[in-house]
Amino acid sequence: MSVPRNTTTPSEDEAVLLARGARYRLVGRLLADSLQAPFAQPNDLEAGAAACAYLGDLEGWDLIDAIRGSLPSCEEEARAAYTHVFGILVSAEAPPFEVEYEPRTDVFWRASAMADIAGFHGVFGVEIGGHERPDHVAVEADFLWYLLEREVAAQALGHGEEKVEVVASAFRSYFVDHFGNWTPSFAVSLAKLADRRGATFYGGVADFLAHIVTAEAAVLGVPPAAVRPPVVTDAPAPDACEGCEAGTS
Amino acid sequence: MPKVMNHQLGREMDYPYEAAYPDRQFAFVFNINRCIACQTCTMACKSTWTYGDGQEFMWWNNVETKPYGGYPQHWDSKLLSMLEEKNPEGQTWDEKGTFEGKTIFETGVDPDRDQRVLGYLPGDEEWQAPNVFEEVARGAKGLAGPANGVSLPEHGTWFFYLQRLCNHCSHPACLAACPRQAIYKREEDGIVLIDQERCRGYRKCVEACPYKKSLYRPNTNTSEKCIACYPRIEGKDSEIDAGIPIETRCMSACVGKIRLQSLVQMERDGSWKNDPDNPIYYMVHEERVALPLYPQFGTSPNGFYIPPRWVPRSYLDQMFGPGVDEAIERYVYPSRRLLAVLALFRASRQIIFRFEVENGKKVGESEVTLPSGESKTLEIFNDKAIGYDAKGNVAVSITIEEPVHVRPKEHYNSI
Ligand code: SF4
Ligand code: SF4
Ligand code: SF4
Repeated sequence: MSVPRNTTTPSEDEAVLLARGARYRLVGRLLADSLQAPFAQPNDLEAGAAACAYLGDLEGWDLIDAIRGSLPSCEEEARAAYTHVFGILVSAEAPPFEVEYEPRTDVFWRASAMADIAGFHGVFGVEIGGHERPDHVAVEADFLWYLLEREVAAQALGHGEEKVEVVASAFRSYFVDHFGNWTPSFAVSLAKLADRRGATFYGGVADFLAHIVTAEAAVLGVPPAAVRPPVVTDAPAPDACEGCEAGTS
Repeated sequence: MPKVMNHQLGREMDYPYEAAYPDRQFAFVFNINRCIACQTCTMACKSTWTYGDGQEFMWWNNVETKPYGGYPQHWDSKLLSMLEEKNPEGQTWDEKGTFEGKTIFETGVDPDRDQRVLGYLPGDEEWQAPNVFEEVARGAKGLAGPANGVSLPEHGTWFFYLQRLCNHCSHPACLAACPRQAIYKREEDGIVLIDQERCRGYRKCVEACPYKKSLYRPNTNTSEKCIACYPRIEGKDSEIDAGIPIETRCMSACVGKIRLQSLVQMERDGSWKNDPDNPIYYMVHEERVALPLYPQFGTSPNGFYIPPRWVPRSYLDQMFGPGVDEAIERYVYPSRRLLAVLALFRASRQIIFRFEVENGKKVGESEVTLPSGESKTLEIFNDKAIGYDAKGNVAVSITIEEPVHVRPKEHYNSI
């Protein structure tokens, strides 16, 4: 006869991380370009809503509820809704890309900012499927989801505190330096744009994103980032050559 | 405090009332290995009994994904931690399968709070996400190959579905805790009910039930719980001929055929009467393939589970007590009789009180790897399982090989 050991059940901390991860995953899917990545399905909304309820985040739950009615019902609808708001190329009013919110517009700085983000992904073995830019909001949200899952797995597999801490601190840096730094601005721009275009769905998504980033900043104990408008790059960069408008230096 | 014999713990334990047992006891076996988490059972119960105002968060039957899921959240790990705190490192079983630790009746006495049972009252938010973490696995995710833990006996990355309803316990904690004695256990079938006239909504039962299967309804200010669909058990459901007990709503709706229920005969001392032809008695006491859920809580639950065979044993040992390895071994390498009983799951609407097996021809062989790693050849015979209802009539007759019916050509498309 076996003698049960007195084992501990998985910690509730793990469950909290998983629920926070589920909120990021939903954000990622709601904002994905369906040509590049899976777009949100009704069951993603349910999983996100359950995660919010679990976390006692009733505001998040209500915001998801508000999105439910306008969720695009098929791939074509999702694609049409996306281009209606973001355009075929980068929308100037609410670009869903991190570096568009940086005041510095010189191409070298932009390239190195992009490399920094991609470097984060690479360190954790993440490659982006499709052709999405590494600084797309959906990619960044997905990456944060992934890091939370990694942290839970490290705990579940007993990898030791040190490894858990490596993932946890990467999460924190990525949030502070990247996702948490620009998405409050993006959410404000997106809300305005969606309102003007009558895009109910993205209006709801903008509210949900703003809420999540605020809630997560509170969890991490960091102040919410200041809101700034995206940098309109339609005009040639100051150091561009007049002929071709590409950078010269 | 009086002492009662707890047969699942192999010892006497404290209980606030003298021992008293019904003539027959409502009991069931769930085969966790088969559940697909379709929640048909959950909705069958909800749409029958709890669709009213004030019952929005009330799920008498629920199916949660372990290890993270729980309704209410973390109900089991919370209570296990409380017990551990009261009796550090003492919650163990000896080699003979006797529980050496303390039950919820032996640690919870707090006269200042009129608390007779160790428990807690979940907050509103803990009821609000009944199915959170559905299909969320524990362990490494997203890796391919053996690193992902795909080989038995234990998977490195795992989850399983746990189907839960009131266990109509033989030593109910809800009943023990109620200061108004509004909860009673029926003599004829052991079903535990809350008298809605007497209940004043003190929620002592909600606090005490270790399985959190007594729930509070705010608009009536009373607590409510699973009633084991007693009109069906009494044979009074209009769905079928009067007088023949039929399975509950959650059992008879089960798509995965994981559920079988019956009424077992009880001895005066609370043990089960020797009745190896009763399918539940047979699985629990003869084959010992089905185990009670958290027997260490001490309520002598009457729901039994065939444990999931891929889950780390330490987790299952804690959840089902002694005998997990043996139960899994018997399940993966079943006797002819057990295989026949497994065929009876959800094969009839009438409750099966007795079964027989008629031997059939050998129809195949299969290589089976036991949890110990040993390989064995399982011979499969086309035996016939016959189930009898409460009146001794044949309720179902089914062979191991399911008959194949080919639709005639002209009806290929007809419904
Ligand atoms: S499971 Fe809970 S509610 Fe049901 S009889 Fe046992 S203690 Fe009472
Ligand atoms: S036995 Fe009846 S009341 Fe109880 S959970 Fe099942 S369907 Fe609901
Ligand atoms: S109906 Fe059966 S298979 Fe479906 S969730 Fe319920 S117990 Fe599982």
